[in-house]
Amino acid sequence: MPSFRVDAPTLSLNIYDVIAKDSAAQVGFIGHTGLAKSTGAHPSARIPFLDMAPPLHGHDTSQHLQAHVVGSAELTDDEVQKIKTFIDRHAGEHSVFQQFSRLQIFQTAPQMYCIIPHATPLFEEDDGRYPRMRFSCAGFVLEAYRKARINLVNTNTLPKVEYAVIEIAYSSQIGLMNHTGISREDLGLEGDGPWPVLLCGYLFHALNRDASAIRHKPYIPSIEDRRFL
Amino acid sequence: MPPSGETRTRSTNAITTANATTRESQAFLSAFMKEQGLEATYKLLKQGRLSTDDEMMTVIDGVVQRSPTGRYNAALQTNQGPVVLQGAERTDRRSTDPQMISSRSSRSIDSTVDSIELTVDQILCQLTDASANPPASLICMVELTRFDPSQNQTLLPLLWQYILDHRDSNNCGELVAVASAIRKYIAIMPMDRMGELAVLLETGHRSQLPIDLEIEVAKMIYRNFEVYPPTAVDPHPELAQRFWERVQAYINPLVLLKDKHSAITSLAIEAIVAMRSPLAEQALQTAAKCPYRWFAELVNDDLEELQRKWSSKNPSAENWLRELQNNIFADVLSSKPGV
Repeated sequence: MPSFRVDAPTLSLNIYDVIAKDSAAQVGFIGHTGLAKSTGAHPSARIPFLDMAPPLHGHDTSQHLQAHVVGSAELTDDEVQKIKTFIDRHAGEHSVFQQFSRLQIFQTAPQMYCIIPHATPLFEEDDGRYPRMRFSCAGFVLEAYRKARINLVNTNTLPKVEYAVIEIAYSSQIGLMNHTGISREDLGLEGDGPWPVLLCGYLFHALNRDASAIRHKPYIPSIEDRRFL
Repeated sequence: MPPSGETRTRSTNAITTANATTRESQAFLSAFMKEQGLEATYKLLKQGRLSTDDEMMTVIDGVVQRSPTGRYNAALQTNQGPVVLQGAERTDRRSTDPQMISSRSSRSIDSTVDSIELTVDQILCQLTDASANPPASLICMVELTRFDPSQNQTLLPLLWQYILDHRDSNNCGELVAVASAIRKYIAIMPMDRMGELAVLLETGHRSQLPIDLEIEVAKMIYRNFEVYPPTAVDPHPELAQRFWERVQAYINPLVLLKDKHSAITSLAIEAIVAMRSPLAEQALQTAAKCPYRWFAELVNDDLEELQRKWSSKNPSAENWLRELQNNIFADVLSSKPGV
């Protein structure tokens, strides 16, 4: 099913359809993404969803998103169960952050969130053991679908983007992080860039293909795919 | 943020606005803080006892950070909008209002600031001093803190005691802290003592471990053996047996789809395999015979990833795992498409 921009007050969704909202800085530039929490009709302005905010919001939490864009892989029941299991395994790792204030969450963001790579363990000890996985919001969606054997995007061929683009993609996070002493390096942005970042928009171009293509060939994004118009 | 054990009563010498509509409120706050100090202002705001002309002002969220100059910056989200305070100075002013003494049981901005500003040594001291009943917030902060190997030796028995003392709690916050303690404990514990974790899963205990905690235990054990493939077969038979009990109980198709049982069951099977237990073959056969094909695929895909991780660390363990998967899954499943 083609991805589409939302122009109706009500949306009919399947569980784990991919939904997103535009960046506050630029209409059409996808700023945040997550998964629909349940099947059914919902007001477009308030879709129950699961996301890597940060922190990661699993089935036990109550989050809502104003949906601007929707993408669907028309998941089978088996794929849905695999994604559910993936979320149930990881959500508990982030439950500690549910106890924190919003600003404190941003202060500890590098312990749960990363921009590059899109998913990576937080190494506790030098020996490589780790207590939790970190994701970006797009990385959480990508890895959830990978667990269901659906590889939406080829992450080996991501376009490199400048910091100005990252500021648009993560405008609210970057703004708050400027007040909390978190550096670019803390989130994986080493050096001066440009960086191969998995941007949310790529997911919707990947899903904007027929169901067979979605499952058989990861999408190779172009720099323009950060927008979905 | 640098450590500070001193009182956090402060006054401000500058206020900047993040939102034009809140200028009046911020001017009011500025004047009040110059008079009363930052701590007193915080506490009155938290208690909803500070009023502007029109309505009571209260803080929803907030954080304080010490700058290199020794002054403080604060970002507050109030019911009247965001407020950013910059360059607040420390003062010696301290409120005598008993209502301003923070409660240990409540989560407040002050406890947030305390936690962030504590040094590693201070966290360890607080945990030691709290002995039997440390606050859940302190345990959560321990998980987010990196200790050196000698500090880990002090930390391990304290975390273990907290886990044993609170695993039956009915309090959500405490269970979050127990999960946090489990992750930290297993991530830093010596590998040769992993068998001791069987105590957490024993069936004779007065109440069963909540499923969320079972998931954390199984996942962390699996992750440890991902990093350290067992050099000997069946290093922790009792632990493997406890997981096998769960697999047998939860694999029932009427149970597996409910709640988080697919997560714990798949992790329990994978932990048994990662320990190279003699139960591994039975556990994998259970997955292969499960009427839900997706479940077998999920376990198989994860174990293929385990093979990849073991290949550079212990080729013998990798070969064992490959043969095991081939014997059991080859006829049942198609291989995972390349990603």
